[in-house]
Amino acid sequence: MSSQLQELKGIQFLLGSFAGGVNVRDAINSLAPDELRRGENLVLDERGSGAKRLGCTSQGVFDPVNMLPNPGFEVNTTGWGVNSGTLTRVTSGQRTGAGGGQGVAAGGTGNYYYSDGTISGATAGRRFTASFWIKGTGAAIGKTATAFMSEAGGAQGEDTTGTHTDQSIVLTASYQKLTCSRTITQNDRTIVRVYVQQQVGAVNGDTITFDDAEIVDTGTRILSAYTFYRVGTTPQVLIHTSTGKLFYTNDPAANPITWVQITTGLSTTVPMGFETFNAKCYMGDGVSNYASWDGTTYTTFASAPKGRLLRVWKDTMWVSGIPGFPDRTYSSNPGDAETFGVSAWIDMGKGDGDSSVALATDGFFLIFSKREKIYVVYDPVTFANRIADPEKGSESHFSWVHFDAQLYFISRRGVCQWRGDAPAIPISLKVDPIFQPSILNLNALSNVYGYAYENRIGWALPEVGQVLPTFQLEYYPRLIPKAGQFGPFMFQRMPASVFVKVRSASSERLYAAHNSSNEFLWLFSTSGTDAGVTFQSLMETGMIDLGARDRTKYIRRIRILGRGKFQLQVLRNFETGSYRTFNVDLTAGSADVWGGGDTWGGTWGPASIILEKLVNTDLYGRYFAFRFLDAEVGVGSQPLSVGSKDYVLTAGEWAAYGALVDGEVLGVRS
Amino acid sequence: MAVGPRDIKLTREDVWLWLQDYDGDHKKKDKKLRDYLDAKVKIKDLPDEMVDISGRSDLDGDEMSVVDVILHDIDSYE
Repeated sequence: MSSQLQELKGIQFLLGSFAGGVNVRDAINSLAPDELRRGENLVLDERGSGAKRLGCTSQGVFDPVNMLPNPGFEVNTTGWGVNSGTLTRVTSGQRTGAGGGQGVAAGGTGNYYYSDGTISGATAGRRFTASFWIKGTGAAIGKTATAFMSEAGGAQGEDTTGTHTDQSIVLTASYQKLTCSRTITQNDRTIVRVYVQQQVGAVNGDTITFDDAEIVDTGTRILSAYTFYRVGTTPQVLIHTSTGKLFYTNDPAANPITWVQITTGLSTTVPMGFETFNAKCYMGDGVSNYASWDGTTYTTFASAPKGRLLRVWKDTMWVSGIPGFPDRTYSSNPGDAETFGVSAWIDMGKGDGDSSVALATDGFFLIFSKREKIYVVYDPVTFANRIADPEKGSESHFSWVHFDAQLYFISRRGVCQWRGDAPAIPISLKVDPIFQPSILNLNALSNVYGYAYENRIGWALPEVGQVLPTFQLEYYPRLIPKAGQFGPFMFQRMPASVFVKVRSASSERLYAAHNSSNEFLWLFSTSGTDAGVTFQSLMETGMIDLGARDRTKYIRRIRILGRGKFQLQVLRNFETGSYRTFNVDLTAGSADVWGGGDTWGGTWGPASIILEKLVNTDLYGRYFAFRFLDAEVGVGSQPLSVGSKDYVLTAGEWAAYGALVDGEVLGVRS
Repeated sequence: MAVGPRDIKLTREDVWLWLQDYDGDHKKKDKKLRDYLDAKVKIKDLPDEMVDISGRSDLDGDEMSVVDVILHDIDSYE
């Protein structure tokens, strides 16, 4: 019998391997003790330690269209129904406009007032939100009111169950806003309905007033987004939506954001490409006329090529992605993105059956990517070009991301690093199993969108059966252990698809389009939830054996270094379920400072945010893995020392910096 | 002497405007269109009507007349 210590080095998931789609036992056996078998919703710090990520904040919706026929009772109560009680229009006490709706309960619980929005087409899966403002009068104050939604019409009867969120409030004499949502279950529905309910406890004569109701179809999506930086003034964020509209805002930090429509009639499916040149933003979607935006004026150029892929290279605007011209790229005149010469175009891979997917540049070359091949133009004057990668292309224009002097993109082979003079190299070897049709919707990889933020780059990818991205794969180039090796990856489950980073004044934020509603999100905000929805972070090590595979071990204890509160689950012998669970509370206690009553027991300064804790495990087995999970929802703090000054930063709710496993290697047992 | 593809002093807007006045279907790329474009290019009095295409792999030869280059791209004009 011998004692053995096994250190999980800072829980560094360097080269983290994931079991998805590969032989689990092989994957585990190939892991080093400090590698992760899986991880999600964590961010890695400069040492590779994992902390729960921050959440997302909704910055309001864009392009809302109220589906209710009579939202504010401006003339009458037409369009509203009553299930009990009475509903009348009042002209005093309304919240806005000329009228409001007044409901008087008939007692009991069935006092409902409702209004319908009309829907058509395939309705299953579509999500709607509804809201209204409500207040009580007299005896109704202090009682509750509820907002909820139902679906009706079609073969089935009205349904108030299914996926929905309701909201209840205690009525006051002032208006309060109630919001609810519903995801339609049946595919042939014609009605989505919002209910105003006087809740349990209402008695005959209880009176409520409500106004400014709405039902909004959340089906509109952002197809692409862009930050238009302007010298001497705040940047604008532009969004192209699935209703074919283009909006801008001067203040994406406002909540809710005010979106101003620039134009309409654009493509409803193809994301618009953007580039800034000579203080103007140029754009194209492959269908509409190439256009410019100077911050106030939208100008179209009917004679310019109608491309959806734009890239500035060598003082020239390059345009590609023109329907019917799969091999072609156009060049504007030097210094003039609005004039295109008649012979300033080039076909690459002419007639090869493939089509342009992306334009990018590494500064030296214009990179013209198809799905299966990549070409470069190396002379902007003669358009001389060559094939740069004969056996792999990229899947999306928006997947090309610059980070730390390198250029990365998503190909069918995985995450690739551009190498200029040599074919790109796949760097996502450890997560290769996700790049297969049973995991990803290959047909929707054109919707992959990349971002660079803080110490990492990421891509939103669509899973099988999904069109819009459903998760993010993040890569940490700065955590590459040695030259020639690759950095770690981490998964995120943020409800985000299209990304745009905005640096303005003292702030820098990453924003995104919600992938299942028409909300605009601030990512990695100081929220503990994803726009109100809780999420769980997870990391799990591979099975460790204390250096003796064939012998039974006794794990006496584990010494944990970290912060916050989390669960530690111990798995053993390749079982997937947790064998034992321990709550690890590393939240800082109250400060223990030197006081007048202290003799020798006090300490100077506040309590530490980072703590160590001994977890007595008392377990037997041959192999052990350790899984770290959330114990609560919220945000935490993280210390950062800058020279002599200590900062306390808002961070994810918990972090695990290290674990030391203390065990005994026993004999060989059957 | 042929000039570079970006040095031809004729823009897509010029051609686009010509085609607005063209009496016919320019996507047929017939002799009528060629004659029409030839005439228009001559009116423009370009110093050189040949385009250097030696750096390109998508067109054959070292140089090509402006009208031929336009005709290769005529489908992109709407």
